[in-house]
Amino acid sequence: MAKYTLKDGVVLKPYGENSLIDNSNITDAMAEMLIAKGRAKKEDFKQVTIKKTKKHGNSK
Amino acid sequence: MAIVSNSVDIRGVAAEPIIEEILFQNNTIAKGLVTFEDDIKAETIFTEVSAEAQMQAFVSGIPTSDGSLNTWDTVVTPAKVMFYQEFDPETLRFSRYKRSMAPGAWNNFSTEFERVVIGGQYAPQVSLSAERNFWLGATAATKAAIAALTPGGTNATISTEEQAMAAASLGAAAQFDGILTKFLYNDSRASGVAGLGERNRVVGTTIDSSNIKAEYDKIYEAIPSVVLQGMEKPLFYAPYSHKQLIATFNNNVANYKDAFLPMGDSYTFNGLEIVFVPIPENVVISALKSHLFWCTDLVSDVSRLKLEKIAANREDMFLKSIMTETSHVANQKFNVLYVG
Repeated sequence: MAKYTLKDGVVLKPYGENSLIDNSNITDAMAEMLIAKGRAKKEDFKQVTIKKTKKHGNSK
Repeated sequence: MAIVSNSVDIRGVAAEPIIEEILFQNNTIAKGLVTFEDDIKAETIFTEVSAEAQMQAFVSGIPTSDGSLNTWDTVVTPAKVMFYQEFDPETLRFSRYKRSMAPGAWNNFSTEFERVVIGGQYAPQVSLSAERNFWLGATAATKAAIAALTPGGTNATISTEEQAMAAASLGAAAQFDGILTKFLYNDSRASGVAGLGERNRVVGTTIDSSNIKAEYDKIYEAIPSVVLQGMEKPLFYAPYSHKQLIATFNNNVANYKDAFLPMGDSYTFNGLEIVFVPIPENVVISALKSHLFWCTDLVSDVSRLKLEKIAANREDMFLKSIMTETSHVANQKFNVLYVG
């Protein structure tokens, strides 16, 4: 399942006015790259809840 | 589509100049920025060759064949495309355009409308569309193939930036693959199997007036040295906005001024010419002009419009332009693609 999903109505134009990234063509790698380069903000994306899995066994 | 007209019935006078949208010129054709391979009615073959000579130890007996001799053909078939629009000149009979209609009820065609709207706006839009598709076109199939590649950190893989640029800027259900698409995905190789383009990739950043020289340095350094040895020098193909970024960079007194040298409308970086074409922001190509091909039947087709009545018994009209077009990138491993 994709980690990054743009909020409703949010589109990105990272390569100029004629470019368009929305939920139909974004990937997690792209989202992280665009955030890192300052062309998208974390707030552009829906909150991602990462399900923590409980570790079993000896953790020493 | 009919004429979309919000005109008023003319009773008094109309200001003479008609304000037109400002359009870019199709510099790719007007300035001959790539190589035009015309007279291609259906298909043409581009042949590339390479060879490797391998020195080996002398033996008196049976020698072992070593090295390689390669030649491969790429068949390029331009797509036949058209622009077509219908309109009814009667729509304009009460507007300012009636002043340029010849006397007589048979005559309802305005020469002013033809000059300003058709010749001044629609025809250049046809040419610009042909140019945009040449640089940015991508068929749905190729776009999907690029999206399916696995990004990685080496030149043998696609970068996340390249993939994002392709997703964001290429295509819109084009009829053929344009230059940027061909840089990223093609079958122009010895095996003939379609795959990632063999360009030299440079992963860049967001280009602005403060870092433009540093980013062009990266592109310059990625050009294979052998390319700079030849008589023909590579060009930088840059987005239009770089003209402004270069001017702003040069206006900063602290910057070294000889890197970017504007002379009139000509710009150079480290002595190599920069030309401005409709490619996305944060993307620059460096290639020999002889490596980039605009393949077509007749180059002047982009400026040929047929304007006639739809039928002899009708008064509404049509505009039609037909052309064949596709792109081809040769000698891929000597070209550089910067994507930030």
